[in-house]
Amino acid sequence: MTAIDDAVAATPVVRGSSLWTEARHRLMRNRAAVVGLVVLALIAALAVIGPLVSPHDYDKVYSDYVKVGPGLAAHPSPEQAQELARKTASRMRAQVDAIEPVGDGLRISLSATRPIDDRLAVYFDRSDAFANTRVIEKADEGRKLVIETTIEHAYFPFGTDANGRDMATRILIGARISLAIGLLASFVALIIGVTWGATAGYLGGRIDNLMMRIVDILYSLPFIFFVIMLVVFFGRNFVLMFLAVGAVEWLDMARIVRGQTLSLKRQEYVQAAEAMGVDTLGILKRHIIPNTLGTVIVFLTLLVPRVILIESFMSFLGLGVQEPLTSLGVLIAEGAKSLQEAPFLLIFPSVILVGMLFSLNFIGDGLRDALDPKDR
Amino acid sequence: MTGYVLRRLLTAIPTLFVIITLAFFLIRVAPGGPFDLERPLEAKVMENLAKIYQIDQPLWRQYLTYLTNLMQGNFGPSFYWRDFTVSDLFARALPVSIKIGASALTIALVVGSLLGTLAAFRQNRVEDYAVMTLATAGTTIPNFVVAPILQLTFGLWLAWLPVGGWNDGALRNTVLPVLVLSLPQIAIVARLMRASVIETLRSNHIRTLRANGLSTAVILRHTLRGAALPVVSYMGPAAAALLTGSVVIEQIFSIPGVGRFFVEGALNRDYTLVMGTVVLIAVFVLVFNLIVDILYAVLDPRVRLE
Repeated sequence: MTAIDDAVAATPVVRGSSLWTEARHRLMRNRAAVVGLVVLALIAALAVIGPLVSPHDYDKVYSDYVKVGPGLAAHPSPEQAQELARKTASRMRAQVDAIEPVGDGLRISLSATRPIDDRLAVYFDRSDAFANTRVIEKADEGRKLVIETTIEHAYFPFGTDANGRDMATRILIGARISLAIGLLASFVALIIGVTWGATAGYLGGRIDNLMMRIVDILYSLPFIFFVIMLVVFFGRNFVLMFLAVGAVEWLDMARIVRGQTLSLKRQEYVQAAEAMGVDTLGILKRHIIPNTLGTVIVFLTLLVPRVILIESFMSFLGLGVQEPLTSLGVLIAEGAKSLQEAPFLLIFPSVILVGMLFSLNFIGDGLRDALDPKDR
Repeated sequence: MTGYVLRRLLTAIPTLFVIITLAFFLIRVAPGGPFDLERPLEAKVMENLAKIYQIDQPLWRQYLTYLTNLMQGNFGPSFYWRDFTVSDLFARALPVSIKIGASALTIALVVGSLLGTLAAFRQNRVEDYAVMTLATAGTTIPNFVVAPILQLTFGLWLAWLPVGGWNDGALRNTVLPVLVLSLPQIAIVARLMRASVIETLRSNHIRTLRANGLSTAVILRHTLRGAALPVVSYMGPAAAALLTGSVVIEQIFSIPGVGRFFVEGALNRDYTLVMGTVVLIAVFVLVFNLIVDILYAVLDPRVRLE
């Protein structure tokens, strides 16, 4: 060991704050961005966990509860239970003589002109409202029947949709799909855009010209045309769709990264690496791409809401996610159809979508301010 | 000036050519054809249809035919609306889209610039925060959320305006679609205007005017001229997009405009209609970009057209 090594080892380590730590501090001071982060985390957590713990499946149809309004009350209400009992009885071709509540169930006396087959009592079990139906009394050669049934209580805090499916679960599934598409499509755009842009910018010359001309040409095709063509090609497949959207959205990313790369490649450390014989791939991976990340992350946070919007817009036009799976765009389109009777079908998914978009935009703006070196 | 415009128009031709070629072959490789129905047509009928619409010929010949027709201003017959040519369809739908788009554009320019300038002159005060909040809301809330909510409020609850329909462009029918179309544009214009007015107010020539004690009106006039540049360059592509119709707005308010042709045409494999729409939009984009460049030179004497 030499003296110099000793001296180096003895020097106390001064931890300078890195670019990223400083950016994080600045971001945390931005109130709108922090609120955005919290709201987004909340929505994301709900979207991931919510459908797992929800008592309803997102595609379970409750045909007795179509377009139930939002509220905390249990379904069926006592009056509704009686009405449903009458309806079920008429399906059994029997008349209801009396209904009396027993515990959390009903005791129903039925009568008919012809003997009632007591197996028909399963009609009650088939309804969403009743379970454990059993015949307790039979009289008059089966023309009179007393049955007891338990009322199954269901809760729809956000109401049900036009097919009688629980809105709360559907909104959470929709938010999950929208978020997933947003993130994955942006990721695809990120990979293609960064690789393309960095390669074009770093190699320069004729290759750069050719690569950017391709970007220009793709850029001048109307965007909707592109997306629709991709949908037409791949069918209405959820996985392929976000690949398609990502494959369209990488153009901006490529332009931004190329611009960054052009200025980066004149930096001394890149030239030093070149002089030391590091190969192109190594320089791209070690120096160019990491240094474009700040700009790329900002663009990415603004790209995610854009992709979510595109997905919703396509679903709204009927080109996106297919039933029974759903996304916020599909829910909004359905809500817009039953605007008059059930405005909540439109309002709830819209609130979630708008909340998501607001948070993402605030985070993106906050990140831009935090990472922008001009602000220091 | 004339030479510049001519040269720009000439350089636009290769771009247009590439777009047309790409779009032509893209839609042709897409699976399915324009005459595919749920129940297939008889072979003979299919053959005759293919002959009439010339899709039995090799693709390169169809491409050449299409290009030749296009150069004579002929968009060809629509494959789906069998009794119409694409030009007929455009002749009916384009005025509708232009009417709504132009109204929205004008409103966006006037209201957006006013709000943006106000916010800039009152930077960091209540007015500024109010405008910026509105602008954020305007750019974030998608139009397919705003439109149904407005329909609900003004169409159903208050019953002031019709929920949809075109009704030959009666004022009552245009209010809601124009409003929905212009809201996000107002927001964007206001943001751009605020940023550029703030920047211009700090520039040397405005400081000189202030130092000379000139009135606010004079300062405003000089500021606006310089500050209009970013708005102008944004308005080029935006105008092209607005005038060629919005799919969502037209669908929600059932307006017979150009916007829906794209989606319907692509789904029905109405080759000529899709191609026509692509050409139409591309031409609008090219023309408006040219107008923007000319306006730039008018507004900013430092910019020279060459």
